[in-house]
Order: sequence, then C-alpha cells, then structure tokens
Amino acid sequence: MPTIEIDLSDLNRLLDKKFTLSELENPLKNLGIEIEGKTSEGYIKLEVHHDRPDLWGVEGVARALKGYLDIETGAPKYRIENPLIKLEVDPALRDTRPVAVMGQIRNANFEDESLKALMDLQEKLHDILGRNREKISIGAYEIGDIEPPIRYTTIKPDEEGFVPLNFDEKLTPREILEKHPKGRKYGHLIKEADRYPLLVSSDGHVLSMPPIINSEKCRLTKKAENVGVDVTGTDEKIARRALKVIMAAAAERGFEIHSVEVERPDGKIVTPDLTAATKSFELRRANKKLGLNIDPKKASKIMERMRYDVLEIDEENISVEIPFYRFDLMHEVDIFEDLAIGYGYDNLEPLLPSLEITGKPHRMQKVCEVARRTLTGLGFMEVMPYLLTSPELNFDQMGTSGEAVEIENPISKEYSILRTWLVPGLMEVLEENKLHKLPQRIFEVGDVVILDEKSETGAINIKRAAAASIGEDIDFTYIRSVAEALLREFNMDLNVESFKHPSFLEERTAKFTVNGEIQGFVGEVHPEVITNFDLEHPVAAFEIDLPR
Amino acid sequence: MSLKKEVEKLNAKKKKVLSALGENEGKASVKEIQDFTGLSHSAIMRAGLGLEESNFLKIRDKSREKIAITEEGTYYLEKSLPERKILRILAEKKSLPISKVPEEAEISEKKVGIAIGWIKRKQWGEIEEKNGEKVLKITEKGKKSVNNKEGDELLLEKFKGSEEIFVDDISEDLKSKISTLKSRNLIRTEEVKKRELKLTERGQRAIDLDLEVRKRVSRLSSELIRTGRWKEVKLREYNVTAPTPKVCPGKEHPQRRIIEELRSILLRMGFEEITGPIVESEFWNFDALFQAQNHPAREIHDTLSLLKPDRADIPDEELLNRVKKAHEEGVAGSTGWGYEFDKDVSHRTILRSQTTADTVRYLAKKPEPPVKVFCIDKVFRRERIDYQHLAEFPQAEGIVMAKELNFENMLGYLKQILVEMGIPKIRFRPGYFPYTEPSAEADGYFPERDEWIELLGAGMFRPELLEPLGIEQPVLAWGIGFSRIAMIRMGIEDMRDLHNNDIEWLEDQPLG
Repeated sequence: MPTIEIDLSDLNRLLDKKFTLSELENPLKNLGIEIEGKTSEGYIKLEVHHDRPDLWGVEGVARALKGYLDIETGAPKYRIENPLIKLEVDPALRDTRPVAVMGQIRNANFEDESLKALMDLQEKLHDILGRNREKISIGAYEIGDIEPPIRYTTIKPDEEGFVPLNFDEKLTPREILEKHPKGRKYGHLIKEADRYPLLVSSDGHVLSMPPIINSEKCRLTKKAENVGVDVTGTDEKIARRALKVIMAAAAERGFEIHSVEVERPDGKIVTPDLTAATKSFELRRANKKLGLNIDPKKASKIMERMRYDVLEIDEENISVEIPFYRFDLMHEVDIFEDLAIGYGYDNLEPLLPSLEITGKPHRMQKVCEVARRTLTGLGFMEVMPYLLTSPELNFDQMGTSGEAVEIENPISKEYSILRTWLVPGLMEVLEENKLHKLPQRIFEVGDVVILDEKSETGAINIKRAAAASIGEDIDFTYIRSVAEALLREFNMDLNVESFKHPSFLEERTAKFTVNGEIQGFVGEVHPEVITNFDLEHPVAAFEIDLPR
Repeated sequence: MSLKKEVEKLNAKKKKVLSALGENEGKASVKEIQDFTGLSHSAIMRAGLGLEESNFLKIRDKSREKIAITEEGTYYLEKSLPERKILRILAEKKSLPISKVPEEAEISEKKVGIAIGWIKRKQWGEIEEKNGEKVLKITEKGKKSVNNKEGDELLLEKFKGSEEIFVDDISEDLKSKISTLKSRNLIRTEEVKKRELKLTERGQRAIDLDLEVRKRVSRLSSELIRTGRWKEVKLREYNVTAPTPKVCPGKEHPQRRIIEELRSILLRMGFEEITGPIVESEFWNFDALFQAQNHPAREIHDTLSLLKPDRADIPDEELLNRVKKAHEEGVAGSTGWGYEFDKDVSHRTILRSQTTADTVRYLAKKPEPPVKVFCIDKVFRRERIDYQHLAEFPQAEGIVMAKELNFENMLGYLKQILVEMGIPKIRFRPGYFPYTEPSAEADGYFPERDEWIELLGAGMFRPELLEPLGIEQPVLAWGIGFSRIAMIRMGIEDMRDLHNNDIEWLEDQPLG
C-alpha cells in the first residue's frame, strides 16, 4: 500500500477547520486511510489504497474528508477553463515515449507546504502509476516567461543540452544521464534510443527532458503563478489519469485550471478531459450484497458524502455521476463498497450465518501430525529450514547431483532452487548448531518439490519426514530404530534392504520398501559429507515418504 | 592406645566432623560440613586441624575458576555486540560508509573504532576507499555469519539468567573464547578457593569402628530393595535444592505451533482443509483471480518465476477463454481491465505467491454449496530476507460459498475468528485487494500495547472472478496476517525467527 506524508496544518487549511490528529483518526480509518505515524520532520504518514490515486496527496484526502464530515458533499465543482496554450507532439517520438498530455494552472498561490504536496503527489504517481517513470513521467514548471506553443520533440544525446535542475552548468543529454542523480536513476529508460524526448518552448527554452529531469530555468518555486503540467510516456490511459489527479489537486486548492490543446500527429485533442461518467444501479442489489436495508433517501445522502452527484433517484434505481478522478469503479460492486464506506463500517453488524458444515482436516495433515508427534516423543526437536535452497547445498555438499525446480530470477544463489530432499537442510541446521552441546536430535516434516512432466504445472510437492542426529555415540542402529518406530506408527508392511547412496557410508545404509517401492532410506552420513558441513562428529539420518 | 580408645577420647566436635565425613562418602567441603553439623566455620577448622594432626583426615585447598559478567557485558548481552549490529546492517545494505556507522548501528562514537576493529578481526567486513570516503563492505564470511553466532557471542549468552558460571562447566570450544571476552572487559575471571576435608584410611577405619554410625549409601539399588537391606542402611541425604542438569523435550517448532493453533480454530469453526501445488501457473495464481497481467505484483521483481519447469498446462481451455474475456472486456456488467490478455503468460510457471491460488482451484471444481474451506500453505515472494521480510512464509486463508451471503456475514466470520483467538475487541476498516469487493480489514485491540493491530483481510470475490468459473453463489474470502499472529502469539518480532533453527533458542521457547 502506498504511504504518503502530509502536513496537518495544510490539511486543516484545505478543510478550513482546525482538527487535531486524534479527531481525524476515526474518519480517516472509516475511509480506509490508516495513520501510520509521524516522520521526524513532523509530517503525518498515511497509508492509502493502491487503487485510489486520487487519495495519494493531501488535496485528495481533504476532498474525501470534506464529504465524509459533511463539510462539502456531492461531486466537486471544479471549473476547467479553455485552453490558452498549445502542445505540439513530434511524430519522431513514435518509437520512444509517444504519449503526451498537458494541463495548465494559473493564478497559483503556492506556499512551502502546498508546493511540497504537489511534488510529493507527482512522485507517488511516477512511482506507482508510472512504474518508476517507465509508463509515465510528469513535469511541472513555471511557464510565465517562456513563449508558447510548447513542443514535445527529441534531442540527440550529444547535442548542446541545457542546465538541468539543481546544476549550474550546461550538460549534454548524454552527460545528464551520466552525471545527474536522476539521470543515473532513470537513464536506462531512454538510453537505448537514438534521440531523447525533450520539451521545449517556441523561443528555445528547454522545459524538461522527460522522463529524467526538468531544466533549472523553469524550476517551479512557490512564486510561480503560471504553471504547466505535462504527462509524457508510453501509456495513454495512465497519462490521462495522472494528469486528472494532479489537476484535481490544483483545483481543490482553488487554483485556476486550464486545459491545453495537444496537437498530435493523429489529430488534435484537449486535455485533461474532466467529463464525468454516469452509472445507475439497483438499490435492492446493493442492500442484498451488503446485508443492509438502506432507503433511497439515505442512500442518496451517503453517495453524496462519498462525493458522487446523485442525478436521479426512485424507489428502485439510483443514478449517479462518477467523479472524474475515480478510476477504480469497474463494476457496480465497487459502488456498493462506497455505499458501505459512506454508511460506516463501524455501523455494520457482523452476522454469522448458520451453515451446517463440520470441519475436516486434510488427510495428509493428519499423517504429518502423527510423524511429528512420534519424533518429538522420541526427543527430536522440530526444525523448519526454507524450501528455497541452492544446488550447492541440495546436491554438491551432499555428494549427489540431480535436477530441481529452478528459479529464473532468484534474489540470490542461496535461494535459487527448491529442495528435492530434506536431509541437506538438516545437515545445515547441525552446522549452524555446531557449538551447541551433543548429542543433538532434529527432524523435519515438510514438503519437497520434484519435477514431474506428467503433472499439470510440471512439478509436484511431496510430504516427507526426515531426522538426523549427531554425537559421539550416534550410529546406524540408533537411527534405524528411530525410523522404524516412526514407520510402525503408520502400520506399514516394510522390508529393509541394503542400499547405496552417495551421501551415506556404504555398508551402513539401508532402504525401506513397501511392496517393492522405495519408501525411504536410513544410514550413517559419509565422513566426507560430514566435513563438507564443517562438522566433527558422527551423523546418522533417515528420510521417508509419508504414506499418501 | 588402640584406635578405638583414641576415637572414644575425641571431643564432641571432632566426632561430629568425622561422622559428617562418614556420611558424605569420605570427603566434604567446610561449607558442606557446616550444613551437616551446624558447627561454625572456625569450630570445624579447629577440629579439622586437630584431626589432621592425628592423621584421621587431610585438609586440601581446591580452587576453581569462576567467570562473572561485567556491566558492559550485560549491556551487550541485551543489545548484542556492536560488530553484530553493524553486520546486520551490512547484510541488508552490503556496504556502509564508516561515517554513518554511529547513526545507523546506534553505537556511540567512541566505540565505533573498536567495533570496526572486531568486524575486521572476525573477517566480517573490509574497508574500502570510495570517492575519498571509507566504506565498510561485507565479506563472504560476514554473509555466512549473519545468521550464525560465533563462539564469543555464545559464551556471552551463557550469562542469560546467571551472573556467574564456572569455567569447568563450559565446553572446550567456548573456553578458548574466555580470553577474548576478558580482553574486551565484558567478563572478569576470579579464582574461588574451596577447602575440602578428606578422610584418610585411618579415619575411615575409625568411623567403621564406631557402630553408632550406620553405613551410608548414595543410591537405592535394586539389590537393596530385593534383599530388604534398605532398612539397615541410611540413604545419603540429597541437597534437593541443588541445580540439576538441563534436559529438554522434543518440541514442535514455534512456527508449527502457530500453524497448528490456526488450524484447530478453523477446524472448530467448521472449515475443511485443502491444499495446492507450490509450483503454480500464472493462470491460477493471478489470471483466474482477475489480477491484470500488468499488475505490479506480477512483475519480475515481486514474483519468483521459473526456468524449470517453464510451462504449465491449463486443463480447461474454455475457462482460459472466459478469463481472458473477463480481463479484456469485462463480464457480469464489468468494464474489464481493457488490455490485450496474453495466453502465453497464463502458461508461465511461478512459485505460488498467494494461497488464493489454492482456493480458486478448489472453486473451479464447482463444489456443491454450502462450502467452507481453508488452507495454510507456503507462499513465495522475491524479497530480500530481513527482520520484516521473508522469501517464503505460510499464509492462511479461507472461503465460504453459500446461496445467501452478504458483507455483514463476511464480517461475522472475521469476528468469530478473532473471538476464537481470544481477541474480543475488534474493529473493521475498508480494505483493498485486487480480487475482492467490497473488502475489509479487521484490527484487534491489544490493551497491553494500547494498539490496534491489523490481523485479517477479507472481501467478497469479485463477479469478474466468479463468473468465468461458473460460480453463481456469493463467495466470502478472508486471509490471516501470519506475521502479526506470530508476533502476538509467540512474541516473534523478527520474522526470521519463523525459521530460526538454533537449538538453544528452540529449547528456550516454552510450550505453555
């Protein structure tokens, strides 16, 4: 879940009230916004939902709270003025980041807090909606003293560049990717292209080189009154959404917002488009889903608190206008949830239906339980190593080889395959406990994963039990008696035969078979394997398939 | 003078000392004789010296070495050694500028030099120059040591619960670490002298002559019981308050105990247990859950994808087509995600990242309602392991399917689960999960921490998920935050303890 940082006095300014944090705790909670704590600078950390970009900034939080606290209900009445400037999109961007939309803010009146809030919102949209600027990046800059129209065009890596933000010398685009911190962080997104994207005014001032950095000249300060906001990238839907969220935030602050005419190779559009969609639903269905009995009048009030405009209402249907900044409403159930939120989760009554069903453990879990009970009863300590392991541990150190489920993108080599047997994990646990007193007795009951071409996903999990013991007096007889004690509990008709296994001492290893099929093996671990694990005492171990 | 006469002439105190030795199988410390006879230390010594002169006994001075923990040692026992703190940070960050050490590891400036010295001596890290700045980097040995304590730390841990220990009580491996800890002023050693009185052969004979002293035996043998001779002998009194050696039962792992507690609650609530494959297709893990193919959780840095096996079957092609349609253009009145669904992606194999894959597989078999099932299974994520993240961990979740179920019923189940766990004060909040709507989260209130803690997430499966499966009844789904339960139930704050296999730690986790 995204976490945002807001300033309480800024929030109060937007709400035009003076709330303490504890007064807001419950309303925020009921809106699904959690107070996570405070930063060292005194900002409040809020956890907001992933599907609600409109709540990723203080302005959106204020907008939702205004509704919930009945300060201002219904859809926000933001006015969007006609375009004053134009953005021209160069066809040369077709192969890199062809999408561009833009909006304009006029008569802005920033303060330190509101400027920071805009930057923070921009960053959240970059990171999450934009997938770290891969899909979109946003630029906001002072356009008071540049000459429109603005062109979205390209620049060669070694052309004369511009002074990037926070620098005082001109760098070429290539140098920006190499030297500027943002260039190093996001350069990979455009590095491969012959020409990098560039936003430039008609009098030749560079505004920004998306998705990397703005120019120092157009730096946005709190003195800025005339601000351009562009969203460029590869995904038009997301670009349009991000622009709407930012423009809605500016409008919530009372700034004048203008659309911009975007001239693209395929025609002219005007962005942002703040037209709202309408949707109607049957109240009966909502009530049934939620288990409530809300009447139309109350429902309409609730919808307004949730910042919907109610267009029409009768005994059966409610028709609402969906706020233009909401992108999470795919189905009527999404609106039903808003109805429940507006009604208040605190007011819902947890009601257990009576379903006559009895609980039933999984068959294999019962078998595992017997294995665990037997082995703990024999004084063995249960250990739980990871299923993720390395070929070194699973095969090499054990003196074996084989195939295992193999991970394409492991976080480290240590966790690059799934284990195919349990004994290596036990050996590693013994190694970790080298300094603990002897003898030691440990066991595990758990899954191994085996490649199996005939299975649906190409591999199957198998439940096994394994135990190992280390100490001066540990030997084959002891561990076999433990293994057999376990097998006896499963009532299996066993045969014991001599067995060869590279991890165990020849002549001191046996296998258990049931109807000719191998069920497990037991033996004294080979001294070479013991030393591979940096151990110095005899180790004996067994591993068996649990009866299915 | 005959021995018998000589014994008879001994004064009362001397006799007492002699018989005390007799009762203690021939030797005892002054302290033990004190306990036995009630005589003062000086009286025993006076009597003892006299008896030594008459060759009844010998007095010997024995010494033992004792180690005591210093104040600084106690501090590090609690907070762990400064180099260990640095190592933990190095394990996460791989490198750390020396100037940042005091702040990051919370070590005072004047200790930093010492701590780094130990990092180097233990070969946990190396110092490199980077842009004119000294930077500490973790070594291979350091990586290995992140989860493995070294001898000096284990020795220090021996002081958990006791302020002093005797050198001859610790293992040879650890003895070698005494000088290390001593040089760091974390422990100090001290010689403790003990004076022991031991009967000579003559003394033994003197006691045998004295018929009033019954023969003492230490062990009640089977022979004594069979022959009835137990009536004639006197059993040596044990010091029943003396410490006994530590033994420990075989126990289930703390993680297992949490799993088993949850299982028993859910079985009691009438849920049936199911399970599913660890190697899963993206189809069941994501597509069938209506999680868009470009959802961030599906990206390569979140989910572990597989080289081998590299392709899964999807037995029901029709189902795949219906799911594709739900994603692309929507079903059941939904707008869908509006992107081009790629069937090849559905066939890709991954390690199960959410147990909802198990429950949806179950639903696809169209079970006859009403149905209540749960699973507790391992899920895998591409996470670097640290105190709050694991690459694999258990997840518990369940579903309820029946004809008439609504959101308030959903909350009813959440409440019951928490009540069964003994958490009576709960609250609900709106939640967000990609495949449920409406969704909720349930918090439990913990008075001792004065804190609401998020414990459950839940919701009603989206119509876009149910319709392709052909499920017509509403389905409630919930999941339990395993790490939070571990924290509440076992006091596990560091998630790595869910896989902690340190035997001493396991022995110390009480079952009760």
